[in-house]
Formats: sequence, structure tokens, C-alpha cells
Amino acid sequence: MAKITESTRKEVTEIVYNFFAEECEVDKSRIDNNTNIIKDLDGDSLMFLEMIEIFKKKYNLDIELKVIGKYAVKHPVATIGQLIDMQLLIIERENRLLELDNKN
Amino acid sequence: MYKTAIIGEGKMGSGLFYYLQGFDLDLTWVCSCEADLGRIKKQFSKRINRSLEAGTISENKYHSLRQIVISQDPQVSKDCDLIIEAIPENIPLKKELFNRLDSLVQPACIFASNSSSINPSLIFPTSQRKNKVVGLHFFYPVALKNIVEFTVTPQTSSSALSAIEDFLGRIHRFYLTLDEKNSFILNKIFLDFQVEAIRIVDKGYCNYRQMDELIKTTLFPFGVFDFMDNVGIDTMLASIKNYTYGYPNKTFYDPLIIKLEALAAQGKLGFKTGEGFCKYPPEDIPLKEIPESGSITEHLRQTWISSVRRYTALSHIPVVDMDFALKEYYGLEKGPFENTIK
Repeated sequence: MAKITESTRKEVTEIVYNFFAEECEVDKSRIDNNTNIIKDLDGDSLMFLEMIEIFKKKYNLDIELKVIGKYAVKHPVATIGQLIDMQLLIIERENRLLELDNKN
Repeated sequence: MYKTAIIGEGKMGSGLFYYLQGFDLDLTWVCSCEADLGRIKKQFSKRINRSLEAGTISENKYHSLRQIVISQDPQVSKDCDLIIEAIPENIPLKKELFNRLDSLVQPACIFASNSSSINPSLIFPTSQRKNKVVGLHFFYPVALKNIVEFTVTPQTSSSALSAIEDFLGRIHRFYLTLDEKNSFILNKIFLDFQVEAIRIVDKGYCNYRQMDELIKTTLFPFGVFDFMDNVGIDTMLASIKNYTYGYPNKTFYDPLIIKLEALAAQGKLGFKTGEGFCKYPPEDIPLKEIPESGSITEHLRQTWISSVRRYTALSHIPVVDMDFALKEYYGLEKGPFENTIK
């Protein structure tokens, strides 16, 4: 299991903010962790999937999309902050993401 | 069959288009006249540029993706081997589209509809092509749900059937082959459950949010009312009317149909309008526990199992296939037949 450091969190946050600023054509300063992806940015599931592909490649992650799909159904993401937290969990746990639910 | 056109730019049309990009297909995307084509093209361009930059696609793939035609003119699909329509659930609209395409597109092309509630026979032309029409019902989000309901009509030829099976294999999608009597089987199974859930709410045992919470903590990863609000009250209503069309006894479905009609009349169309069965964003009111929740859960579980068994028997789908399909549909770890499959 990967260890999430403060620098990983900063890096992930930066990538997510830049991604949505470019994709949704909004100034980065208008995005914060409370920004609602659908309501404020008109985002969709395709953006979510593209982000996952980017992080899979960047951190060389071993995770199947269906694992993320199952996790996301139970833990829907509404805000940028929630999306960052989910990406960090994916980086940390990869294919063992669903074990979190089995523990709870 | 590798020249494929997707028609429609909604959630399903765009989801299909972006999913199919990952495979070795010659893709074309036909958007409606109302679509903002400039925005769609720009978004596509940004996405493939980002993918190249992030290294998630190769240079070769990038150049082949740049060749994709995105247009509002259905003429661009004239050489296609397969056309998948994903436009709104409206029979006259779909009929009009396919009649137009029938005269434009090469005769060997197979027509497929991604409809979630309308059988292919009701919308396709009665021309020479009637042996090349099928239903291909993908689920949202396309990239995450590995399941397709493949509906054949009595006229679908064996060559069209094999071509679609080959196509679905190429795009790595598991499928159930269904006749039109048993089409949309996964939604029909869930529909029985939804009706039973609303009956319990109507009897005053709990409210919609409490019921959803109970379902989420005991049965499925999502609640039924939240599900309907996300699909859209108007879409749900039209779909249920299509599913139950011709049923000899529809009274079982009345509680749900009546409620959906009332919500639609008030303009409460679900998530997209900020209110349907529930309000969005959800009200911050703590949920009280439901008395007798154990027996309600068990009743709902039995309702679901009985629908699953009934529809599996009617459709002659092997239990191992149905088990897999249901796990994909609901996002379940274990299917209902898990203990009986050897």
C-alpha cells in the first residue's frame, strides 16, 4: 500500500485543479475544494474517468475501472475536495480499494 | 464490421463515443442539429491532447483519433458497417431518424438502438434492412458497466447476430442475448423492486430518503428513489409505460406510475430540476431509524429474488450469465445465484 505524503496530496490537488480549470474553461482561482463538480463546473462522468486514467499512468497504479466504479457508487463524489480524497485513496489502495467497505 | 457511427451527444451517446475510442474501430460521431458542435469538437480535441501529454495514448493512436469525423450531417455515416443510435427515448423521433438513414446508408449496415425501453421492431424501417436491426442497450456509465442487453427481432439474420457478437467481443463487453418479449430484462427486474419500495413508503412505514438509506445499508449500493431522480422522472415514466405496454394486468405498477405522473406534472423531474422524490442537494435533516426495518429488508430481498428467478426462467438465460449481469448492473460483490453456481 502506497504511503500518501503531504507532497502527494499537493501534487494530486494541483493536477485536479488544473484539469478542471482547463476542461471547464474557468479560472483556477475560482476552484476550491468546495466547488461542486456538476453544479458549478458542469462536469460529468467522462471527466472523472479521464482523471483516473491520468492518475493510473502517472502513479503506475494497478487498479481496474470496475473496482473504482463499485466504490464510486457507494461513495459518490460531488465536490473537488471529495474527488481529491478519492484519488488519494485510489493511489494508496489500488485494487484493494473495496476492502475499505468490507472493514466498515 | 469496424466502421461504426454513434448518433447522439447526450450522456449515453458521448459515453459510448469516448468508450469506443479505446478500440480499433473507424469511428464517426453524428450529433443533433441542436448540439453545440464547436464545443463538442473543442472538448474532444482537448481530451485527446491531454491524453497524449499524460501518456495514456500513443502518438499513433493520437493521430488516428484526430481523423475521427464529428458532424451534424448523417450523410457522414453512409459507409458505416454499424450505426448505434443514442437519441432521446421518443418513438417518432427514432423512427424518423432511421427512415432517413435507411435511404442514406449502405445496405449491409446494421442498425442498432441503444434505447432502454423501446423494442427495435417499433422503430426500425420495414425495408430490406429489417433483418439487420437490433437493440444494443448499454448502461451508464458505459466505461464502468460491463453489460449490454442485445435484443434481436424475429427477423434479425444469423449473419447480423454474429456480426454484433463479434463487435461486442471486440469492445470487451459482456452481453445477454434477448428476444423482444424479454428485452430490457435488467430494468424490468429492478422495476418490480421499485414498485414494492414505493408501496412500503405509501403505507407510511418510512419516507423516500429513509427507504433509500435502508436499501443502501442492506441490499444495493444505491437507493431506488435516488436512482429514479438521477435517471429523470420523465424518462422513468416513459420507460415504465413502454415496459408495461401490453401487460394484461398493470395494476401492480400503478402506485409508481401515479406518483411519477404527479411529480412530472409539477415539473419535479429529479436531480436535473433540483427535486423529484427527494430534494437536491439533500436536506440536512437527520434520518430516523425505520421501525421493523429487518422485516422490510427481508420482504424487499424476497421480492427481488423472486423477480430474478421469474425473469431468468422466462428468458432462458443461463444463471451464470444472469448472475454476472446482475452484479454489473447493481455493482454487487455477490450475485443472487452465487451459492448455486458450481
